[in-house]
Amino acid sequence: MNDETKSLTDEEIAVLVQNGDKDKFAIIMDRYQSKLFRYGRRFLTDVDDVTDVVQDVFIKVYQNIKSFDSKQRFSPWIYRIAHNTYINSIKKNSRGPLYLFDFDVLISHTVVEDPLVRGREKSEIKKMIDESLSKLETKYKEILILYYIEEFSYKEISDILQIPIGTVGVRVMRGRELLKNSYKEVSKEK
Amino acid sequence: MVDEISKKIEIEVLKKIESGQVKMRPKSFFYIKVIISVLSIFFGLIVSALLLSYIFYSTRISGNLNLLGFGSKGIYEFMMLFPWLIVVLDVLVLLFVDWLLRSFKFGYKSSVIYLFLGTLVVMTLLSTLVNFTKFNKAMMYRAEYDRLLLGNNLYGSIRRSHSSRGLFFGYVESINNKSIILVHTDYKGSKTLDRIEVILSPELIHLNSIKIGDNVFVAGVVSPTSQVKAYGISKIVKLD
Repeated sequence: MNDETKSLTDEEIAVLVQNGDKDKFAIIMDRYQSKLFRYGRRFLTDVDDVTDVVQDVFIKVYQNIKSFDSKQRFSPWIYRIAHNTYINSIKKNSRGPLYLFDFDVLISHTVVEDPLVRGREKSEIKKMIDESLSKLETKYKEILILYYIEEFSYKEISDILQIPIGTVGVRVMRGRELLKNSYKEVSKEK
Repeated sequence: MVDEISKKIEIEVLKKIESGQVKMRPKSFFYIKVIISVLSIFFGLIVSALLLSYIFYSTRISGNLNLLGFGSKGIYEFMMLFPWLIVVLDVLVLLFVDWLLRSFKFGYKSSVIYLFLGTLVVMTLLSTLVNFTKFNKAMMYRAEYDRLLLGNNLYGSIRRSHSSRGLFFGYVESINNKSIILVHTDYKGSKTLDRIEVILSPELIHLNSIKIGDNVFVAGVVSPTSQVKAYGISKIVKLD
């Protein structure tokens, strides 16, 4: 990969791929493979399953690349595809529904995102995520990972999960509390 | 190990792209998808509006709305005759429209309740517009002559009496002290006339200023001698 290619943004590379430069797609895969693999490992325990899903994600990204609007950020767009693919994979493997009707999206919530708070809490939350995330429901797992690990904003998470911004805020707050409680229990057991 | 897996994924995906097994979908595919969604939303709203306008129209024209003023028995009959199935169908269509709307940014950024209320308002406005036209009247007339492809039963039954429930509508042929003779039609193409004696209290006749020739809606209990003991009567506007 030469310096010129390295300096291209994800959005610029996506445009090149849209215009027929298939080789540039390898750069997108290089940049996102480990991120998507790490994201998937939070939901699926089997490495082979995660590998299959990551492969599916890139196939879908390539197939649908012409629907990407280069005026938007590429990262939330690819994570949207990844989220759907992981959720479908979890649904296939689970016996019951992933979660019953989601009351969080029923009504409007007013929340304020404070990046400074995230900055202060980040290292503490990351440690808790490593130890206790598996005990949480999928909807809280995904929101905590997207917010604290992948560091997306509320607006970007709203686009990835296709839920209202208020619901993102509420889930981050609740997820954080549940994670802290779960971490306390895990620490007690130790 | 992660590097090995990454390399494997990259090779597999690029191989599929090179061989043509995986192809880029053309832009037209996505435009068509959006057009289909938009058209489905549009038709969903139209269907929903037509269903709601039918509910308003049939309740008004059938005279059933008058039952609400006839005491508890009238309210009971109103509830039994209300087209609940159409309401359920309408709500399902609305929910389907909302599900389609959630694939758009303004749809998923709104809470479910606001989205539902928003589409309900739009649908209610559309159905009000339909009610200003002669659409439902035309459908009803065609259904009464079995000329509709779909919906003959739905529209054809609007102006039918429910004799088993003691509900009749027709015109007053004569008035006695305690009763009226009601001539009622069962709108079914060739109009068949039937006369029934409706026993009314003098207060009911007086309160409603019933005169000979008036079109009325009567709710009562049918006796074994085929007389109707009325608990409610209302004047109604005649439709041709």
